[in-house]
Amino acid sequence: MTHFLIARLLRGVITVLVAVTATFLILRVMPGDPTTMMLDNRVPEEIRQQLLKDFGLDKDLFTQYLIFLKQLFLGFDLGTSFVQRVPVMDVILSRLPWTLVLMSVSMLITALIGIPLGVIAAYRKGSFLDQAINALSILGIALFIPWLGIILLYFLGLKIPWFPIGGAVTVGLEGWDYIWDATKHLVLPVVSLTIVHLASYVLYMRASTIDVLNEEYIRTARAKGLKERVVLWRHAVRNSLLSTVTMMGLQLGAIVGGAILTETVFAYPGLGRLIYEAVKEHDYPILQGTFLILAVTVVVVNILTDIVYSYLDPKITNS
Amino acid sequence: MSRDKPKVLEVKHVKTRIKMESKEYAIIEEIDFHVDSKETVGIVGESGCGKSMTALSIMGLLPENASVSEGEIRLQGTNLLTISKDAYRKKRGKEMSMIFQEPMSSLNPVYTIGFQLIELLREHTTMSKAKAKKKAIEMLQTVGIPRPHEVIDEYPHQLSGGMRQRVMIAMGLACNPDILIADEPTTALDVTIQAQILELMKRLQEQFDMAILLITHDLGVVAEVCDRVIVMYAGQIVEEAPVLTLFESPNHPYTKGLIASTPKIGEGKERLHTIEGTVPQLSEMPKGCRFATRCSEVTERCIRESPPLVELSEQVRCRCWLYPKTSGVSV
Repeated sequence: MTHFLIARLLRGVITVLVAVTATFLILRVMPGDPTTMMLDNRVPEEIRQQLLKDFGLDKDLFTQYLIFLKQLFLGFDLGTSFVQRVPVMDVILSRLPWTLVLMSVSMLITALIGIPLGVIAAYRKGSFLDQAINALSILGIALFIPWLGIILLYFLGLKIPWFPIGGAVTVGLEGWDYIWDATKHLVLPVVSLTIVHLASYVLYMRASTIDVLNEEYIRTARAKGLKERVVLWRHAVRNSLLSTVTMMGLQLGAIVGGAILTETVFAYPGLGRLIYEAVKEHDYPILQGTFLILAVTVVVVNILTDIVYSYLDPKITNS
Repeated sequence: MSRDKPKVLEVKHVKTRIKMESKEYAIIEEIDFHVDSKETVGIVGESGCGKSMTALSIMGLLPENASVSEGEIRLQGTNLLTISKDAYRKKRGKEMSMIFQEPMSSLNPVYTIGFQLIELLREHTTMSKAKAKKKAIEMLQTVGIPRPHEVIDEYPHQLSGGMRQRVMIAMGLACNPDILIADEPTTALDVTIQAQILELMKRLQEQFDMAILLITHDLGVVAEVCDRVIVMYAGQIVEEAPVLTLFESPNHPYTKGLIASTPKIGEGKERLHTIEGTVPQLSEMPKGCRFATRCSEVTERCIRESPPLVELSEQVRCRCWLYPKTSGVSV
């Protein structure tokens, strides 16, 4: 197990390095540079050049890359935001918790709803219930987050103002009021992220449970005279979870993508919205920093997924 | 085997239907037999003759698209087809149990051997966890598993095929059933292991006082362990006889063919006998005798009319127009 973890960690580090390099390069081949958005085109050329020099963008690509890596690995420094003129690390740390809350709450709810729905659909394969679950799931996949977000905001934020229409928390609250307020702000973004990602959980769990229910050990479980409830939830689900857990790890990338759209629509002050703003402003250090954090998150979650998987599958733990 | 022995299992006129592509077919028809207490009855036949479906019909474990549509299945006198689903479930694993062909895939890969045994004991008895564990270890020992104290915490993939089949047998016997249904229990195993498993089953039958219904395509296995044999063809019983009688004087042309196609040591080097053709498809079941198309002694009557199962002597029944109704009644 230790050996396995070290190998996974090494692979993770390489993955992060590749992701960071790719981000670095992509940003610099994007048309335009930070000054195009920041400065009016009537500003004299010398000032523009001076600004580029301040940002370190006058040097050649390779030197920039070396400086970036040196700062990152020797000083654990992600640089300073071009636009906000504050350390990128501070900006990210103030935004990261909101995104983590949004994503983990959404993933948890998606799993808690999606897994049982998939199992029930599989057990009642071909029934009306199964078809209804399938149809609704596919409808969920087909929805575009900004569209769904706007519909939710219009009806539940404006027409019936149950939920706030933006932000993460009202300024100046403390204690339980703070938590209650933050929860209310979280509802609509979580609902739209969940609806869109629910389908893959349901359909995946359904397919793998259908496969498992045809296995011979399920017949053995019935031959032992176990209750149907036990046959399904103890003997089948534990096995069909195996492939679904792998899928959940891979699905994380899609959830990150979904979070960017969701946070933008709901003006939620997380990393996703930060990325959206930084892209508009060509704020390279912010983008480099956020992508680094996202890459690390994805790698860590995948390692966690592998650990959960090995716990579920005795063939891995025992060999 | 005299007639007055108590019958553990009675199968009367059972017909099982399967639904495929919105059409219904009878996969087994007019199945009629019984198993006495402590007796071993074998069901033999080619793949697709309905022998496994017969076993699953008895256990109530038919696939979703199949069901028993006629007849009675009596276990110790109770008709299983009229009791509630839950009462039926409670008999499975306790009064009747079943072991399967593939020991490799018959155990749940994510739970330990102990968990799977203890779960069974706790379902059917009021044993405490500790007591069930003790009993589980004892059962593993009974079926000849070395170091049972360790095996109980191991997972199925850590055991060999033969060991897994022993575990399945331990689960089958743990609640002391009246009958054990074994569906090709040795087919997937090495020849040397096969012999061990058969021997084990015979020994445990004595020890646990139970009847065995053994389903196999292997006449060698039948000769070794069975008291009585039922030969099935295309979903029907075609012959039934005590094991020695069957091998010495088979009646039905199909049984003759089956015996002739079994290799025997020390007998010539000529080509092994084969029965030409295959079992008819469910959708193309002939109107007359189902074996007619492959039979070497076929007559015109065989193609026109389906022969009844006729009692030839006290314990011998045969479904063939070659044998007129002599003594018994047709069923």
